[in-house]
Amino acid sequence: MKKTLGFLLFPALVSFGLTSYATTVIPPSFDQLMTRAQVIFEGEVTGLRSQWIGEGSQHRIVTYVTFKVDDALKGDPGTTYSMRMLGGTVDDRTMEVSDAPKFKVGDHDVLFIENNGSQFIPLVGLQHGRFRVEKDSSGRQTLLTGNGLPLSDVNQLGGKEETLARSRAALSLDDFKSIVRLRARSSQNQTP
Amino acid sequence: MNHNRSVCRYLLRLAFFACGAILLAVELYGYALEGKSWPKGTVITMQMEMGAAGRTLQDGSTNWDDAAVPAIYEWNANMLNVRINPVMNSSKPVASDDGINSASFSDTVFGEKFSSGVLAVTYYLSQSGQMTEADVLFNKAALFDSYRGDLQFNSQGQCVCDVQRVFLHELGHALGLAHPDDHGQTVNAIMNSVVSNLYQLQPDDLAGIHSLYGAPATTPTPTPSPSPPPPNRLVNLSTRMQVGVGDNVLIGGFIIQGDQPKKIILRAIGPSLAQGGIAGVLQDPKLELHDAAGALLQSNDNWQSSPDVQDIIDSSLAPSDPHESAILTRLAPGNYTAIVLGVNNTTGIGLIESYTLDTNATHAANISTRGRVGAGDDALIGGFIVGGHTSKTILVRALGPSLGNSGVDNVLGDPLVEMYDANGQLFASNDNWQTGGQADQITATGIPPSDPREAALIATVPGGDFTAVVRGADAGEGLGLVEIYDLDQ
Repeated sequence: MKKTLGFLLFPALVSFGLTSYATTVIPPSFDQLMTRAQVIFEGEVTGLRSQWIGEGSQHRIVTYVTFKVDDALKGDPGTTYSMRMLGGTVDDRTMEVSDAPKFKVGDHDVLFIENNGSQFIPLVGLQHGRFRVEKDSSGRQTLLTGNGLPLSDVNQLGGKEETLARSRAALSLDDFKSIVRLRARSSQNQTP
Repeated sequence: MNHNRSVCRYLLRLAFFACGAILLAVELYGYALEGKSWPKGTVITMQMEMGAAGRTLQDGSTNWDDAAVPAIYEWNANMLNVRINPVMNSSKPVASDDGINSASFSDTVFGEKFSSGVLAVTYYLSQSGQMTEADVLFNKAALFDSYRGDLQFNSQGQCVCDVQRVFLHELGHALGLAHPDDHGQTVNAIMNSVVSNLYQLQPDDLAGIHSLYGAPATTPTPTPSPSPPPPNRLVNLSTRMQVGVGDNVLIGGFIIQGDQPKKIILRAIGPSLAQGGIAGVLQDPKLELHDAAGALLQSNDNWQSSPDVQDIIDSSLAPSDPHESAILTRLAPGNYTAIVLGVNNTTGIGLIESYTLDTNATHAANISTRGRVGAGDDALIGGFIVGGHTSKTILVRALGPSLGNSGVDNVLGDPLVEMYDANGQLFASNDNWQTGGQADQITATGIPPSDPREAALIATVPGGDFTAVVRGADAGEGLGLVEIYDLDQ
């Protein structure tokens, strides 16, 4: 799967030029994540179920990923949330979409979800709408971005991950959730 | 004991450095694999059905298929054990789980919305770790053109993306490569997840594909010889026979080999054969061109009604009778079938011909014609011209009994093949391929007839016109197949 760099990247391209190496993924900015996500929550994968759906030319395998919702940050995911993704394995047959993130039971994530049930991968910016929760060496819970880099500042999202990720300490899960909640409330208050 | 500890420390240190060396080696090549691949020897037929561009693209293409297909050739030139065979201008339905590989524009991913910012996806199916189908879906909502060089943006800052490099990337997925940059790697690669200024395969992409399918023995050079020798190739292929209805229509098959599309003209001749003294000609032949999967690519009845009528006239190969048919087209390498039938189920003796109209390295390598073999003028007659000034070795096969294995009824029980030169001189013939003195040579080609009653011969011929005639050895009649293979390719 190939993605565009998007409007926001254009000034960056002009400023720095695109060398033959300038091909890293530019994920959605934090603003875009917050605006586009209809549901945001912290949760743990408790089950995966794949099945055939559709008929004729749309006969396909989808996988329902079930989460135990630990903390709802935007929208109302309930106590368990089921996300439908295109692709999966039934018996010995597998269907996959390039670049679809892979989940397994026990995964602990913060998820930014849009168009669940109608979009082939209902995560904002595909893998960039998923933040893996991991413990650092001191036992503190931190986050990894879609590229597998530590998240140190939400402002790093949208294209400058690589440089900023190494410049600061990783953001804690609690701090990240506070920022998300604050931004969600702020957006809600601005809505007429 | 101390000695043992120091040995342990040494081994640990060695292991540490070995791990470091391995990690460094991994960083040299950052390619990532999807974990699935095609079985060795697979020819991946890809239905190209991206349609007309509706304008002239920056590289001169007016059709998305033409703009995108060089991506297939680029991968093909760099793989040993699999090959992608494009079928141009296909109209096969694009479907999930139908075993057909395709490239097309779409509003959805088989009914599910695209995510915003996604240009294209590759949707692939596998069974027991082996790929069985791959569909590339381009997002209709994205902006595309076709150009080489730096990525272009419109005045709103939106990417006007190069369809060829996006297809190059998606084909990498279809072949089993993943995004190296999503796996923590920082390398130059077409397979990175974001479209960029790169528009050709990079060393990391090649390392990835070679790990899956091996590397070709020699690296193809992009610089052509300044004065290539004239090719000694089959430049014209034709078959004349009695055209019937149903199973007895004239069916001609041919293979385009090479790395580029080939411009050809197909002709279905009938009325003008009467000028050569042939009685009972097909008065109104209709011509159809099908791809290897049987899909109808083009058809024509009466060549003057063709949208390419001027090009047909300009080729100097326009049929002499307005009831005759012609198709002028550019075909990607692959297998094709041309069918001649009579309008309103009329019958008579007809002729199918294919001529190549350009001189690039792509060429027609084989022709086969199936039809009803009768007596006298109703024999199955295949003609071909060898272009150039050097000799060429060909294999001619005349099949009948083995067609019955494919469910064909009323086959020719004992075919006989005769070869004639341009002067009408018989220079080779065979009945029963195992008894002609060439059985070992024919077996060595890898494509001997499967039935001992069938005929085959190998001949080395100079440039010029030749004819292969198939009849029943016992004066029998029935459906037969004549095939001519170019053994020098």
